Amino acid sequence: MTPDLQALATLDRVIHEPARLMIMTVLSAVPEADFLYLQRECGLTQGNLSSHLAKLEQAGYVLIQKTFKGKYPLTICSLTRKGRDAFEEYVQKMRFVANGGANGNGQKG
Amino acid sequence: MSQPQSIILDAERRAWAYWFADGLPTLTAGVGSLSIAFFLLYSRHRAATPLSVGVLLAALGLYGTILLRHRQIVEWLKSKITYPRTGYASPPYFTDDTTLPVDFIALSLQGADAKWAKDIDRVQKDRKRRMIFTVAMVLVATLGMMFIANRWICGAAGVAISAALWLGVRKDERLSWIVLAGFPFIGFYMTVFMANHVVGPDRVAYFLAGSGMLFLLDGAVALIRYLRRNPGTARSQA
Repeated sequence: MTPDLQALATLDRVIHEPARLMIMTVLSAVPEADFLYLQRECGLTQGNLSSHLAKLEQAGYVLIQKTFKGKYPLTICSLTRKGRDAFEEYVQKMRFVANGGANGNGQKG
Repeated sequence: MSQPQSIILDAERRAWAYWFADGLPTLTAGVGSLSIAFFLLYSRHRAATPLSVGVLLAALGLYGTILLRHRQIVEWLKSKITYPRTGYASPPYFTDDTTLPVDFIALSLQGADAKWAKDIDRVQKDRKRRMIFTVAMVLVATLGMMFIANRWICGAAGVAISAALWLGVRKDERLSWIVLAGFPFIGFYMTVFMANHVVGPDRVAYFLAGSGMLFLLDGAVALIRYLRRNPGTARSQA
């Protein structure tokens, strides 16, 4: 296996799953968002989103805070520092696979 | 969007547009404009009595509160009026730019990826440049109305502000035709009906009052549209 191909093997599997990648992408663009916003943006069902968020929380990538906004329950999600770093690394690896593999320009230093 | 290749930037733009979707930020801005217009007009044409000073301070206090606590006021209104119809996302641009993921990605990329990072950086710099341009145009138009006696300056100011807003924000969000057409309308209305007997700072005050009503109208239309599209149901969150 070439080093370029090995980059694919080291992709973060927690993020690589499409639904979780969507969640991470949406959360990377905002300081925080609630469950309903994520559900609408990602087009996931409530149960599906819950389970993926639980996995991301378990990995330490997402912080979930359950509070109230007025009389309504509010589940606020945000990326942790670890989550942002992991997402950054994932994006870099994907860019490396797409663009930088031939000359090694995209390799993280 | 000028950079469709970046899903992250697109998500950021959508989150920003989402903040304005229910019209509440525009409504709040309208109340702010009306309060400062009222303050300017009232302070210039009323004798100083304890009551008038109290009214002035109330108007100024309302404006200051909206100016300094705009986000908190809008969030409170959202929690009372529109939440939880479409959920909540805090607007991305209120945070320090250095916390945005595009920046740390941009800083750590090299070679072919640097082009992508530069594109992201260019989008952010372009956004800042457009905002500075818009603010500068509004300032020039305001000063023009105050210091140029020619009545047509009001119409020109309305057109200039409308054009500046369109150039300033069109890449980031949809701008309502009410605002785009409204500023020239206010300007030319003042040119035709008011410019002869309203001069100096009063012109600015009346223009601000018109702007406030414009924002209120735009915000109300957006809010009604939002509420009709998203009928209220208290949805539980997982």
